Amino acid sequence: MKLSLLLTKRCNAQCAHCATDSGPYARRSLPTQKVFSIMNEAAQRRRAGESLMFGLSGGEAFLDLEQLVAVIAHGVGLGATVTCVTNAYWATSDAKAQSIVARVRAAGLTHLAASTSRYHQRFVPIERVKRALSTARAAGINTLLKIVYSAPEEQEGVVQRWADFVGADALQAFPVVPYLRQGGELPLEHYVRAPGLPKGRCPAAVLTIREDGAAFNCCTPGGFETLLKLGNVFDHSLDALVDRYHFDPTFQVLREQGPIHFARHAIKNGEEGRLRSAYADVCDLCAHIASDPVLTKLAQDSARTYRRRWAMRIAKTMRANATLITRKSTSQRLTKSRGIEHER
Amino acid sequence: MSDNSSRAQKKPQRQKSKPPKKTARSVKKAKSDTYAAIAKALDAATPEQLSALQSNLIKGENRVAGIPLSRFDAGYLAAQLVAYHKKPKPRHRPKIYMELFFPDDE
Repeated sequence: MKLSLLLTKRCNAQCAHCATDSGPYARRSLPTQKVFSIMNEAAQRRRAGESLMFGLSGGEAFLDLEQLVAVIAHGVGLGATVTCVTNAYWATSDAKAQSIVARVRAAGLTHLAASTSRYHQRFVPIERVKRALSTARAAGINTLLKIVYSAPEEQEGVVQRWADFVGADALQAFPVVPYLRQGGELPLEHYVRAPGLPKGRCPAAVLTIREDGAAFNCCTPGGFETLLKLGNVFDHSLDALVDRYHFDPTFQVLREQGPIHFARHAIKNGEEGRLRSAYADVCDLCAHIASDPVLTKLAQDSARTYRRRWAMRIAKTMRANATLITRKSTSQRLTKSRGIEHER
Repeated sequence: MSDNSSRAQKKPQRQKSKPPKKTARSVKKAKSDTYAAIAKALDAATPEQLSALQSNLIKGENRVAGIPLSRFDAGYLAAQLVAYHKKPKPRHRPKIYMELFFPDDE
């Protein structure tokens, strides 16, 4: 089981593209005891042989190092793999980076990712990202560099330059999407988009719990909307949230068909004008549907119809199977009785 | 005489207790109603109820909303519900966790 925990909304940076609206003035954090109880519930749910993984992020989780170390140690104590994402603001010098990496490594952290982009670099220089990740690598931690890029940067080959400069074990690069912090705006030419509706199923479903306890089916920018909301850990048990994660009709559609199913339903209902003519990827399409109340309502209706058809398909198959079994047993009975007659 | 009268009294009682004759049409109708009720129950079930149904079927309690299922139907339905937990891998994209770091362990 994978569970992602966005521990805090507090962040030293205030990036234009931040989808969680984190910043220095945001104070909300998940209480440590609540984090522990969620982790305990997740560990209790784990079946034999199943791996358990906690992904920590924020805001900036390293701003409260004591909480972060305690959460990592608790997760590792439950037998889980614990990973963390940071903007690496804390790697101001080699000595500072080494002391912080030593603390999280001692707590049991095995995977560390650092994010950078032109938006991050207004607050955190890329040199700190390089220092944080190279120190972590030296301490035996797996590292990942996450880059958010705009269309001009893609054309200039900036992503590869940054990746070569930092030198992490792995690289994930994402185009910036228009789900920005409140009031944020980027020039249209910054968005990387391909014309048409992107096909493909949900590639990033993971139960994500935010700093206010809200649980979502998604961890990507624009995903923290009503359409993908499962409930709140302060009101529901983790079991109930996991049940919704698995059995809610909206997520069934996203897992089996992808957001294009909802887009097609919107087009059928004459709402084509609400969709864009180009998208970055499936996540962009999904987030766009989730950000529009009319498209959200249509998507929910479409998900209910999809569930009804699923139920009817199951009942129909059961009926067909039952008929087949009856025919088989009748023919077996007949063959048997004919055999007996033949023996006579 | 008395024997005849007692027979006459008993006769209508026997007729009443006799179950209605099963015709091919009535059997077909009953089957169709049963499967329609199963479809309705599955459609109306909340995620929590579907999860509970899955656990019950795995335990061997072969019923949906009180409707008994054959062992074959129960096995089929349980397999359909378990399939929900298996996230199909996307065909043309790797897993992406924008806000997180999950090394691909699946």
